[in-house]
This record gives sequence, C-alpha cells and structure tokens, in this order.
Amino acid sequence: MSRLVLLHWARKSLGVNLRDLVPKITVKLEDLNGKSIAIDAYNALYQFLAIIRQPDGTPLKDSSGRITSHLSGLLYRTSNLVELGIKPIYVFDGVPPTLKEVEIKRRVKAKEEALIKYEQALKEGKIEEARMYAQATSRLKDYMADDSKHLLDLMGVPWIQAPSEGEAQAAHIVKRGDADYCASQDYDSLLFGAPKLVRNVTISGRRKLPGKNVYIEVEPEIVELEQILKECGITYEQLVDVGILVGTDFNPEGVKGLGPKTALKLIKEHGSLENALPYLKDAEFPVDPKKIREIFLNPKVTDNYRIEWKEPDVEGVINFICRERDFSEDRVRKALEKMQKGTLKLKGKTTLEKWFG
Amino acid sequence: MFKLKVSDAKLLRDMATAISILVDEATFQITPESLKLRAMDPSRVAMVDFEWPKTVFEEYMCNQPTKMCINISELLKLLRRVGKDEAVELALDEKTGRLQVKITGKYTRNFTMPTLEASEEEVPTPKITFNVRAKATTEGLRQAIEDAELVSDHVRIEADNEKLVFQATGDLMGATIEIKKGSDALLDLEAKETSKATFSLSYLSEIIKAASATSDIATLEFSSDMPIKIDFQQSKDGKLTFYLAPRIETA
Repeated sequence: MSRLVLLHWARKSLGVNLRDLVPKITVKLEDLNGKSIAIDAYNALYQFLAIIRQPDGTPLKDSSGRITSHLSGLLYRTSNLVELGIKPIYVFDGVPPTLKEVEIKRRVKAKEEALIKYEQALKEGKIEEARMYAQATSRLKDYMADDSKHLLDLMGVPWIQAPSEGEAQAAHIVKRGDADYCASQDYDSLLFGAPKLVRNVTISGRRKLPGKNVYIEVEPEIVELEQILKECGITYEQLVDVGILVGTDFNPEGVKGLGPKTALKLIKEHGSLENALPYLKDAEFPVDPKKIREIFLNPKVTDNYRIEWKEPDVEGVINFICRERDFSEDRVRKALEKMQKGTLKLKGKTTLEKWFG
Repeated sequence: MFKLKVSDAKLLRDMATAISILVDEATFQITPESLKLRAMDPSRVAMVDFEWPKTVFEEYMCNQPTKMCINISELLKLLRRVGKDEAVELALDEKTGRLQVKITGKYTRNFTMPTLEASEEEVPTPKITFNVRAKATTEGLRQAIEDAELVSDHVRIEADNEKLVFQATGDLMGATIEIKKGSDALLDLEAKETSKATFSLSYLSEIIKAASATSDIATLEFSSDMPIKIDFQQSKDGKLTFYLAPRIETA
C-alpha cells in the first residue's frame, strides 16, 4: 500500500472533512490562558499513542511491558496547559452509537493492515516507514483509558464520562457555558453544535511531518460555528447535512466524488438533505442518513457532571507513574511543579513575587 | 563561632513553630547583632520575616556573619521536649557542620543535629502602599478567622474608618464578622480609603494561630487586592511579620 493511501486513511479517520469550508484563526497556546477547554480525551490519547514512540515506532513501555505513551502525553501536555493558565477538562467516550459500527469495523481492519505493513517494514529495516505504519496501528485499550482517568484524578484535573460520543458531550458542555472551547482534531464537534472549537491544543509545538525529516510548527486554530454558518450562508442543520454528504464517522465514505464545496452548493440549492438526495442518484449510505442527522442534532449527553480543578497530589502521581510505570521522577516532579504554579493562577491565587517590583 | 542561650524555651519553641508554618528548611542569617530569617513558602504565597536582636538572648555570640540552614521540624521535635523552667543553648560547630542543642534544667540533655545547605535566595520586601492599618488583639483575630473557617476556605477582609469586616462565603453558608472601631478587639483603625482583599483561610488561620502564641497584639496592613502584612508585636525586642498574597477572583 502506498503512503498516499495511508495518509488518506489518517485523514478519513479524523471525522468529517470540513477543512475547506472552515474559516480559522491561528493563535498561540498561551493566548488561551484563563480559558476552560473540554478536550476530546480519546482523540488526545490516540494522538499521544501515535506520536510518542521511539524512532522505529515502538511505543513507550514500562518494565513489565505495559504501554505508557498515553500517560506520558497526558502528564506533560496537561501540566503544560495548566502552567499556561488553561483549564483542561477531559471528556471520555462512552458506548458508541450502534450506527458507528461501520466506521469502527473499518478502523479495526485498517489497523490490522497497518500492523502487517509495520512488521514487514521492521523486518526490512525501513525504520522511517516502520514508524509511520506503527502510528497507524495505535489502539486504545480499556486499561489505557482507566490509567488515564486515574492519572487525571491524581493531577486534580476534571474528567467527564460521556454517555456516548465524547465530542457530543464536550459540545454540550460548551453550549451550556461550562467550558469556553471544545478541543479535538475532528470537526465533528461543530456538527454536534459546539459554538467554539480549538484544534491542535494537544499537539501544538514542533512536529515532524510523517514520513519526512521535516519539522513544522503546529499552532492552535480556533474555529467558530457562527462564523462558518455566516460565511457559508447556511443554518446549523444545513451544516450537519453538508457533513453527512461529505462523510462522517457514521458514513465514512460519504457520497462518492462529492467534496465539501459541491456538498455545500447542493444543500444551499435544495435546502436540505432530503431535497438534495434525488439529484444524487449514486448516493449510497450504510445507514439511514436521517438517523445520522438525528445523532448530531439530538445526541445522547448528560447534565450530570462536576467540573473542579484541584491541586495536584504530587506524591500520588509519583507513586503511580514513577513507582508503577517507571517514569523518571525528576522529570515528573518538574512537570508537576510547573503545573502547581498554574493551579495557583486557576484559583485566582497570586504569589508575592508579583509585588517584588 | 556562633552560640546562643535562651532562658525562655517556650518562646523559642513558639517562634520555631510560627516559622515552620511556611518553611521546612529554614536558613537563618546570623550577624553579631541579630538572628534573622526571611523566607517564602514553596508556593510563594506567603512570607515570614523574623528577627531577634541579641538583646532577646541571655547569651549571644557571633564573631562573623554566617548562614545556618536547619530542618525546622526536626528542631521542633527537640524543643517540644523542653520543660517550663529549662533553658536552651544552640551552638554551631562549624567544623562538623552540626548544631548542638543543649537543654538544661534539673539535668542536662545534649542533642546534635545536621545543618543543611543554606539557601542563597535573597527574598525582597513586597512593594505595597497600604491604605488600611488596623491594630487588633490576636485573640480577636483568631476568633474571626475560626468563625470564617466554618463556612469557607477563603475570607474577604474589608475596612473603612469605622470597622473591620471579615466576610466568608462558602458553597452553602456565609459568615460576616464585624469588629467596630473602639471595641476591645480593635485597638486602632485608620483607612485612607475603603479597601478589601481576599485571602486563603488555610494560610491565615495557621499563621494567626501559631503567631498568637508569641504575641497578643497584631497590626494588619492592607489595600484592595494587594498582599496583607501582619506584624505580631513581640513582648521582648524582636520582629515577627508575615506577608500573604491575595486571591484575585477575576485573575
């Protein structure tokens, strides 16, 4: 399989492709200080699992062979955010809607294929290629989510269990005014009605381009739903219909040959998905598109959550990830110290240094 | 060569307790004139400024300025063993770097403890223009803080020329403690302008409780959203002052 196809997978698995329609503002991470951000936890954990690897693609592991890439990412990135005065809230996926089965099966199959390619590349000593395929094999096991929740508890960072889709719950939290932004790489949060989305929060910084020895500076991008709707001249419901035509996690392929711009034109011309479908004779959907729309417009979410940032339990974190998972105590302590400075800011606390002049 | 003797062991113990509220490893500046310490807690929210001139001690000997860092809670363990009419002598053995703690009363006890690497940090004085100056009994302050602690973990201190008010708002309950000028608890009150600032009760309560043991009268100085300075008047010569940074809700 060519690299191009692999990259295509990667893009497809990032939910609905609205990139071309979305006006975005690039900001610096520190510009988000004082803001609370509902982070799509699985999305972030997948990124950590994909990126935090040795040069040949082997993930970080402790002495008993348990993968720790996700914990490393979660600890260092979260402490970094808190240090900057950003208030993270992690939202974990619950039970996926049954409509997502097609996508889930596709992802499992893709990962199996990537695994074969990875082993092949390793055997042939093609390290660069191996790393690239390895990234696509990342699988999030239950123990990783449990580990992550435990670490967040010790760090005093709130997490919320979504009844179903994490992004839907994150969007709900922002809609209710309990957080300022959703954070995810996917644009799906927008289809779930998130007023504000920020991308790249969990990966900003210097990043290596896959398969190349080239580094780029990744910066957070802010996307506002209101702005998209205004520029496209459509309603929120119509945006969801555009998304379905382009392809979502519930119909990954979308309508064949239909890009975001054409999809937008069709929905604007005909008003809705139902009215546009008769003009798309070849359109096929793995599930009823009206049901997909229903998931976005009325997702399963809960109001039963509590958002509270606490001081990190330093010794608790050390015990868990240094004693049990073999992290370097020095580095972890430094990260937590930075974080503690941030938690002071979060609670409106000040330090005397401010008055030393 | 550094050596001192305190006949009032309780005072030494209470002072060490007050310092231990903020610091574990205490670096004392020792000069021929006085024993000084100025340090912040690790989160840099509070500062203690302590000085005992040599007149406080029964004996005081220092040939040349030096620094001495000790684990204050370890010293406290020893000082807790000191009885009422016993005296304490501290002597720094510069060769071994150990501090000798000699307790004399009905019989003599000699302890030694290690000194640690002294902190090089020079802690500056916060630059603040204070608009309120209130002189109160430490007992009155302690009561107000204990009341506020019942309902919240932070308290807003507010003053004008008439009264000093402690206001605490918790999740469910609220408390307002008003001390009027001229009352037994408030000896003096001057306010250039009405000022208010919010502080963490855990810090305030520990500081006031510990320092009350050394002092009956405290002077509070503060301005809106600025650190508070609390000076605990000492019966002998000497100084025990705390600074505490405010909480600013909109920060």
